Amino acid sequence: MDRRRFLTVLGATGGAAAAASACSAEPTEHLVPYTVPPENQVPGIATYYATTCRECAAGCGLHAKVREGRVIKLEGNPESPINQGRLCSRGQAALQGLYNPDRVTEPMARGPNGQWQTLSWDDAIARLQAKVKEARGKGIAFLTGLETGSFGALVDGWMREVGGRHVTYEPLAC
Amino acid sequence: MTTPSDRVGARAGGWASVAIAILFGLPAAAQTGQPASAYKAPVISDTGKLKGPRQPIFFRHDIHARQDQIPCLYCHSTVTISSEPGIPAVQTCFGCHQMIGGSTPSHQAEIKKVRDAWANRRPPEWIRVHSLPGFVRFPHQRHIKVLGTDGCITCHGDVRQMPQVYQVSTLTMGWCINCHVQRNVPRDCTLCHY
Repeated sequence: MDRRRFLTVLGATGGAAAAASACSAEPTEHLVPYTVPPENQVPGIATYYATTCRECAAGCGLHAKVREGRVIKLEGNPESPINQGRLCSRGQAALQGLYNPDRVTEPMARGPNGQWQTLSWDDAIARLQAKVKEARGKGIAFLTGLETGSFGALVDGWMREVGGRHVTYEPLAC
Repeated sequence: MTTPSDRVGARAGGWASVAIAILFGLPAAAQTGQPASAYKAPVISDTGKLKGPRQPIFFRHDIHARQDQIPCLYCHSTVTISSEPGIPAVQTCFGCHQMIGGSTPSHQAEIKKVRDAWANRRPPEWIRVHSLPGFVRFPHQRHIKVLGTDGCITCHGDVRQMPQVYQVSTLTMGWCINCHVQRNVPRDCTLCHY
Protein backbone atom coordinates (compact mmCIF):
# COMPACT_ATOMS: atom_id res chain seq x y z
CA MET A 1 0.00 0.00 0.00
CA ASP A 2 1.49 3.35 -0.99
CA ARG A 3 1.19 6.52 1.04
CA ARG A 4 -1.66 8.00 -1.02
CA ARG A 5 -3.77 4.84 -0.78
CA PHE A 6 -3.12 4.67 2.98
CA LEU A 7 -4.33 8.24 3.51
CA THR A 8 -7.45 7.60 1.40
CA VAL A 9 -8.40 4.56 3.45
CA LEU A 10 -7.65 6.40 6.70
CA GLY A 11 -9.83 9.34 5.64
CA ALA A 12 -12.72 7.11 4.57
CA THR A 13 -12.76 4.96 7.71
CA GLY A 14 -12.24 7.98 9.97
CA GLY A 15 -15.18 9.75 8.34
CA ALA A 16 -17.36 6.67 8.68
CA ALA A 17 -16.42 6.29 12.35
CA ALA A 18 -17.25 9.95 13.01
CA ALA A 19 -20.62 9.58 11.27
CA ALA A 20 -21.43 6.40 13.19
CA SER A 21 -20.55 7.95 16.54
CA ALA A 22 -22.66 11.02 15.78
CA CYS A 23 -25.74 8.87 15.18
CA SER A 24 -25.35 6.28 17.95
CA ALA A 25 -26.62 6.76 21.49
CA GLU A 26 -24.35 7.99 24.28
CA PRO A 27 -21.94 5.36 25.60
CA THR A 28 -23.17 3.19 28.44
CA GLU A 29 -21.98 4.44 31.81
CA HIS A 30 -21.29 1.99 34.59
CA LEU A 31 -21.67 2.47 38.33
CA VAL A 32 -19.28 0.24 40.22
CA PRO A 33 -19.89 0.15 43.98
CA TYR A 34 -17.34 -0.65 46.65
CA THR A 35 -17.15 -4.14 48.08
CA VAL A 36 -16.30 -2.65 51.47
CA PRO A 37 -16.52 1.18 51.60
CA PRO A 38 -13.41 3.01 52.88
CA GLU A 39 -13.72 4.57 56.33
CA ASN A 40 -14.74 8.21 56.82
CA GLN A 41 -15.63 8.70 53.18
CA VAL A 42 -18.85 10.17 51.80
CA PRO A 43 -19.10 9.99 47.99
CA GLY A 44 -19.05 13.51 46.55
CA ILE A 45 -17.51 15.14 49.63
CA ALA A 46 -13.76 15.48 50.21
CA THR A 47 -12.14 14.37 53.47
CA TYR A 48 -8.97 16.16 54.60
CA TYR A 49 -6.17 14.41 56.44
CA ALA A 50 -3.24 16.09 58.19
CA THR A 51 -0.03 14.32 57.22
CA THR A 52 3.68 14.88 56.59
CA CYS A 53 5.49 15.51 53.31
CA ARG A 54 8.33 13.06 52.68
CA GLU A 55 9.82 14.68 49.60
CA CYS A 56 12.83 16.01 51.56
CA ALA A 57 14.23 15.95 55.08
CA ALA A 58 12.30 19.09 56.14
CA GLY A 59 9.09 17.09 56.64
CA CYS A 60 6.55 19.85 56.05
CA GLY A 61 3.02 19.55 57.43
CA LEU A 62 0.37 18.77 54.81
CA HIS A 63 -3.35 18.73 54.37
CA ALA A 64 -4.23 15.93 51.94
CA LYS A 65 -7.56 16.23 50.14
CA VAL A 66 -9.14 12.82 49.61
CA ARG A 67 -12.12 12.01 47.39
CA GLU A 68 -13.65 8.50 47.47
CA GLY A 69 -10.52 7.08 49.08
CA ARG A 70 -7.99 8.66 46.67
CA VAL A 71 -5.68 11.63 47.40
CA ILE A 72 -6.25 14.37 44.84
CA LYS A 73 -4.48 17.47 46.26
CA LEU A 74 -1.79 18.42 48.76
CA GLU A 75 -1.50 21.81 50.46
CA GLY A 76 0.62 23.08 53.35
CA ASN A 77 -0.85 22.79 56.84
CA PRO A 78 -1.17 26.37 58.24
CA GLU A 79 -0.68 25.03 61.77
CA SER A 80 2.66 23.36 60.98
CA PRO A 81 5.57 25.24 62.60
CA ILE A 82 7.88 24.11 59.77
CA ASN A 83 6.15 25.47 56.68
CA GLN A 84 3.27 27.52 58.20
CA GLY A 85 0.85 26.65 55.41
CA ARG A 86 3.31 26.92 52.54
CA LEU A 87 4.35 24.05 50.30
CA CYS A 88 7.12 24.00 47.69
CA SER A 89 6.69 22.80 44.12
CA ARG A 90 8.17 19.44 44.98
CA GLY A 91 5.66 18.92 47.75
CA GLN A 92 2.84 20.01 45.44
CA ALA A 93 4.06 17.46 42.88
CA ALA A 94 4.36 14.59 45.36
CA LEU A 95 1.10 13.16 44.00
CA GLN A 96 2.85 12.58 40.68
CA GLY A 97 5.03 10.03 42.48
CA LEU A 98 2.02 8.37 44.10
CA TYR A 99 0.21 7.78 40.81
CA ASN A 100 3.28 7.36 38.56
CA PRO A 101 2.68 4.32 36.33
CA ASP A 102 6.42 3.50 36.60
CA ARG A 103 6.50 3.50 40.42
CA VAL A 104 7.84 0.42 42.22
CA THR A 105 4.81 -1.66 43.24
CA GLU A 106 6.44 -4.97 44.20
CA PRO A 107 9.77 -6.20 45.61
CA MET A 108 12.66 -6.15 43.15
CA ALA A 109 16.26 -7.38 43.21
CA ARG A 110 19.15 -7.28 40.79
CA GLY A 111 19.59 -10.52 38.89
CA PRO A 112 22.90 -12.20 37.98
CA ASN A 113 23.49 -9.88 35.01
CA GLY A 114 22.59 -6.75 36.96
CA GLN A 115 19.06 -6.36 35.66
CA TRP A 116 16.11 -5.63 37.94
CA GLN A 117 13.80 -8.58 38.48
CA THR A 118 10.54 -8.72 40.42
CA LEU A 119 10.20 -11.10 43.36
CA SER A 120 7.25 -12.45 45.29
CA TRP A 121 6.84 -11.01 48.81
CA ASP A 122 7.58 -14.40 50.41
CA ASP A 123 10.75 -14.77 48.35
CA ALA A 124 11.84 -11.19 49.08
CA ILE A 125 11.31 -11.54 52.85
CA ALA A 126 13.20 -14.86 52.89
CA ARG A 127 16.14 -13.30 51.01
CA LEU A 128 16.17 -10.25 53.29
CA GLN A 129 16.16 -12.51 56.36
CA ALA A 130 19.12 -14.54 55.05
CA LYS A 131 21.08 -11.39 54.15
CA VAL A 132 20.47 -9.73 57.52
CA LYS A 133 21.53 -12.91 59.32
CA GLU A 134 24.71 -13.07 57.23
CA ALA A 135 25.62 -9.38 57.68
CA ARG A 136 24.70 -9.09 61.36
CA GLY A 137 27.65 -7.63 63.27
CA LYS A 138 29.48 -6.79 60.03
CA GLY A 139 27.52 -3.61 59.41
CA ILE A 140 24.06 -3.06 57.91
CA ALA A 141 22.64 0.14 56.44
CA PHE A 142 18.88 0.62 55.93
CA LEU A 143 18.52 3.23 53.21
CA THR A 144 15.27 5.22 52.97
CA GLY A 145 14.01 8.69 52.23
CA LEU A 146 12.59 10.68 55.12
CA GLU A 147 10.47 8.31 57.20
CA THR A 148 8.31 9.80 59.92
CA GLY A 149 5.96 8.39 62.52
CA SER A 150 5.74 4.75 63.47
CA PHE A 151 7.52 3.41 60.36
CA GLY A 152 10.54 5.62 61.02
CA ALA A 153 10.59 4.52 64.66
CA LEU A 154 10.28 0.87 63.59
CA VAL A 155 13.26 1.14 61.23
CA ASP A 156 15.36 2.93 63.88
CA GLY A 157 14.47 0.31 66.50
CA TRP A 158 15.16 -2.61 64.20
CA MET A 159 18.56 -1.21 63.15
CA ARG A 160 19.51 -0.76 66.83
CA GLU A 161 18.64 -4.44 67.42
CA VAL A 162 20.74 -5.80 64.55
CA GLY A 163 23.59 -3.33 65.04
CA GLY A 164 23.03 -1.40 61.83
CA ARG A 165 22.39 2.18 60.82
CA HIS A 166 19.29 3.86 59.42
CA VAL A 167 20.53 6.16 56.63
CA THR A 168 18.18 8.68 55.06
CA TYR A 169 19.13 10.20 51.74
CA GLU A 170 18.11 13.41 50.06
CA PRO A 171 18.78 13.04 46.34
CA LEU A 172 17.79 16.63 45.47
CA ALA A 173 17.75 19.85 47.40
CA CYS A 174 14.79 22.14 46.84
CA MET B 1 -6.16 -7.15 43.90
CA THR B 2 -6.41 -8.25 47.50
CA THR B 3 -4.09 -6.68 50.03
CA PRO B 4 -3.63 -8.08 53.56
CA SER B 5 -5.63 -5.18 55.03
CA ASP B 6 -8.48 -6.04 52.63
CA ARG B 7 -8.57 -9.52 54.00
CA VAL B 8 -8.66 -8.28 57.58
CA GLY B 9 -11.43 -5.88 56.56
CA ALA B 10 -13.39 -8.70 54.97
CA ARG B 11 -13.18 -10.78 58.11
CA ALA B 12 -14.19 -7.92 60.38
CA GLY B 13 -16.89 -6.92 57.89
CA GLY B 14 -18.14 -10.50 57.87
CA TRP B 15 -18.70 -10.55 61.62
CA ALA B 16 -20.25 -7.10 61.59
CA SER B 17 -22.68 -8.22 58.93
CA VAL B 18 -23.70 -11.24 61.00
CA ALA B 19 -24.76 -8.84 63.74
CA ILE B 20 -26.49 -6.57 61.24
CA ALA B 21 -28.23 -9.50 59.63
CA ILE B 22 -29.70 -10.52 62.97
CA LEU B 23 -31.03 -7.00 63.43
CA PHE B 24 -32.13 -6.38 59.86
CA GLY B 25 -32.80 -9.89 58.64
CA LEU B 26 -36.53 -9.29 58.93
CA PRO B 27 -38.49 -6.99 56.63
CA ALA B 28 -38.29 -3.38 57.78
CA ALA B 29 -41.96 -3.35 58.74
CA ALA B 30 -41.27 -5.90 61.48
CA GLN B 31 -38.77 -3.52 63.12
CA THR B 32 -40.57 -0.23 62.66
CA GLY B 33 -43.85 -1.62 64.00
CA GLN B 34 -45.68 -0.42 60.91
CA PRO B 35 -48.23 -2.79 59.39
CA ALA B 36 -46.53 -5.07 56.90
CA SER B 37 -47.12 -4.29 53.26
CA ALA B 38 -50.02 -6.22 51.76
CA TYR B 39 -48.16 -6.14 48.46
CA LYS B 40 -46.62 -9.39 47.38
CA ALA B 41 -44.19 -8.93 44.51
CA PRO B 42 -44.96 -11.30 41.62
CA VAL B 43 -42.46 -13.75 40.24
CA ILE B 44 -41.30 -12.38 36.89
CA SER B 45 -40.31 -15.04 34.41
CA ASP B 46 -40.09 -12.89 31.26
CA THR B 47 -37.59 -10.16 32.10
CA GLY B 48 -37.17 -9.21 28.45
CA LYS B 49 -40.43 -7.22 28.50
CA LEU B 50 -39.40 -4.97 31.38
CA LYS B 51 -38.55 -1.33 30.75
CA GLY B 52 -35.07 0.00 31.43
CA PRO B 53 -31.60 -1.43 30.90
CA ARG B 54 -30.90 -4.99 31.96
CA GLN B 55 -28.62 -4.99 34.99
CA PRO B 56 -25.90 -7.53 35.88
CA ILE B 57 -28.02 -8.58 38.88
CA PHE B 58 -31.81 -8.49 38.60
CA PHE B 59 -32.21 -6.26 41.66
CA ARG B 60 -35.89 -5.56 42.24
CA HIS B 61 -36.80 -2.24 43.86
CA ASP B 62 -40.44 -3.46 43.97
CA ILE B 63 -39.46 -6.28 46.33
CA HIS B 64 -37.02 -4.31 48.50
CA ALA B 65 -38.74 -0.92 48.69
CA ARG B 66 -42.40 -1.85 48.28
CA GLN B 67 -42.98 -5.39 49.55
CA ASP B 68 -40.31 -5.26 52.28
CA GLN B 69 -40.68 -1.49 52.86
CA ILE B 70 -36.97 -0.82 53.21
CA PRO B 71 -36.51 2.98 53.18
CA CYS B 72 -34.55 4.43 50.22
CA LEU B 73 -31.99 5.78 52.68
CA TYR B 74 -31.08 2.34 54.02
CA CYS B 75 -29.04 1.75 50.85
CA HIS B 76 -28.70 5.26 49.35
CA SER B 77 -27.45 6.53 52.67
CA THR B 78 -25.53 9.66 51.67
CA VAL B 79 -28.40 11.31 49.77
CA THR B 80 -29.19 13.70 52.64
CA ILE B 81 -25.60 14.85 53.19
CA SER B 82 -23.92 14.78 49.79
CA SER B 83 -24.44 15.61 46.15
CA GLU B 84 -24.18 11.86 45.53
CA PRO B 85 -26.91 9.50 46.78
CA GLY B 86 -24.45 6.63 47.16
CA ILE B 87 -24.65 3.26 45.47
CA PRO B 88 -24.69 0.66 48.25
CA ALA B 89 -21.48 -1.30 48.78
CA VAL B 90 -21.67 -5.06 48.30
CA GLN B 91 -21.18 -5.19 52.09
CA THR B 92 -24.60 -3.56 52.53
CA CYS B 93 -26.28 -6.13 50.24
CA PHE B 94 -24.49 -9.02 51.91
CA GLY B 95 -25.45 -7.70 55.38
CA CYS B 96 -28.96 -8.99 54.76
CA HIS B 97 -28.34 -11.58 52.06
CA GLN B 98 -25.95 -13.52 54.23
CA MET B 99 -29.14 -14.70 55.92
CA ILE B 100 -31.77 -14.18 53.22
CA GLY B 101 -31.27 -16.65 50.39
CA GLY B 102 -34.48 -16.16 48.40
CA SER B 103 -37.76 -18.06 48.21
CA THR B 104 -37.89 -19.10 44.55
CA PRO B 105 -35.20 -20.62 42.31
CA SER B 106 -34.96 -17.42 40.20
CA HIS B 107 -34.53 -15.25 43.32
CA GLN B 108 -31.98 -17.68 44.70
CA ALA B 109 -29.99 -17.48 41.48
CA GLU B 110 -29.84 -13.67 41.66
CA ILE B 111 -28.94 -13.65 45.37
CA LYS B 112 -26.18 -16.13 44.63
CA LYS B 113 -24.66 -13.47 42.36
CA VAL B 114 -24.58 -11.08 45.35
CA ARG B 115 -22.91 -13.71 47.52
CA ASP B 116 -20.40 -14.51 44.78
CA ALA B 117 -19.65 -10.80 44.35
CA TRP B 118 -18.86 -10.64 48.08
CA ALA B 119 -16.81 -13.84 48.09
CA ASN B 120 -14.82 -12.90 44.97
CA ARG B 121 -14.61 -9.22 45.93
CA ARG B 122 -15.90 -8.33 42.48
CA PRO B 123 -18.72 -5.76 42.71
CA PRO B 124 -21.43 -5.71 40.02
CA GLU B 125 -21.01 -3.11 37.28
CA TRP B 126 -24.46 -1.52 37.28
CA ILE B 127 -25.68 0.17 34.11
CA ARG B 128 -26.25 3.83 34.92
CA VAL B 129 -29.87 4.89 34.35
CA HIS B 130 -29.90 8.54 35.47
CA SER B 131 -27.01 10.56 34.15
CA LEU B 132 -26.38 14.29 33.77
CA PRO B 133 -23.78 15.91 31.50
CA GLY B 134 -20.51 16.92 33.16
CA PHE B 135 -21.31 20.64 33.01
CA VAL B 136 -24.32 20.38 35.34
CA ARG B 137 -24.15 20.05 39.11
CA PHE B 138 -27.06 18.42 40.85
CA PRO B 139 -26.78 18.38 44.64
CA HIS B 140 -29.08 15.62 45.93
CA GLN B 141 -28.91 16.80 49.54
CA ARG B 142 -30.51 20.22 48.88
CA HIS B 143 -33.40 18.67 46.97
CA ILE B 144 -34.02 16.05 49.67
CA LYS B 145 -33.92 18.80 52.31
CA VAL B 146 -36.87 20.51 50.57
CA LEU B 147 -38.77 17.50 49.24
CA GLY B 148 -38.19 15.15 52.17
CA THR B 149 -36.77 11.64 52.20
CA ASP B 150 -39.78 10.35 50.24
CA GLY B 151 -39.20 13.03 47.61
CA CYS B 152 -37.05 10.77 45.41
CA ILE B 153 -40.26 10.00 43.53
CA THR B 154 -40.40 13.60 42.18
CA CYS B 155 -37.59 13.00 39.69
CA HIS B 156 -37.08 9.23 39.71
CA GLY B 157 -40.74 8.22 39.43
CA ASP B 158 -42.17 5.63 41.81
CA VAL B 159 -39.20 3.31 41.87
CA ARG B 160 -41.10 1.18 44.41
CA GLN B 161 -43.31 0.00 41.51
CA MET B 162 -40.39 -0.87 39.24
CA PRO B 163 -38.99 -4.41 39.03
CA GLN B 164 -36.26 -2.90 36.82
CA VAL B 165 -35.39 0.80 37.07
CA TYR B 166 -35.97 3.00 34.03
CA GLN B 167 -35.73 6.74 33.47
CA VAL B 168 -39.06 8.52 34.00
CA SER B 169 -38.08 12.19 33.69
CA THR B 170 -36.16 13.68 30.77
CA LEU B 171 -33.59 15.36 33.07
CA THR B 172 -33.22 18.12 30.46
CA MET B 173 -32.69 21.75 31.47
CA GLY B 174 -36.25 22.73 30.52
CA TRP B 175 -37.60 20.04 32.78
CA CYS B 176 -35.45 21.28 35.71
CA ILE B 177 -36.41 24.93 35.10
CA ASN B 178 -40.10 24.05 34.87
CA CYS B 179 -40.07 22.72 38.44
CA HIS B 180 -37.97 25.66 39.67
CA VAL B 181 -40.52 28.08 38.13
CA GLN B 182 -43.48 26.26 39.65
CA ARG B 183 -41.92 26.28 43.11
CA ASN B 184 -40.55 29.80 42.68
CA VAL B 185 -36.98 28.88 43.58
CA PRO B 186 -33.79 30.45 42.14
CA ARG B 187 -32.98 29.95 38.45
CA ASP B 188 -29.55 31.57 38.12
CA CYS B 189 -27.37 29.94 35.46
CA THR B 190 -24.56 29.59 37.98
CA LEU B 191 -26.81 27.70 40.39
CA CYS B 192 -26.22 24.52 38.38
CA HIS B 193 -23.54 25.48 35.85
CA TYR B 194 -20.36 26.29 37.74
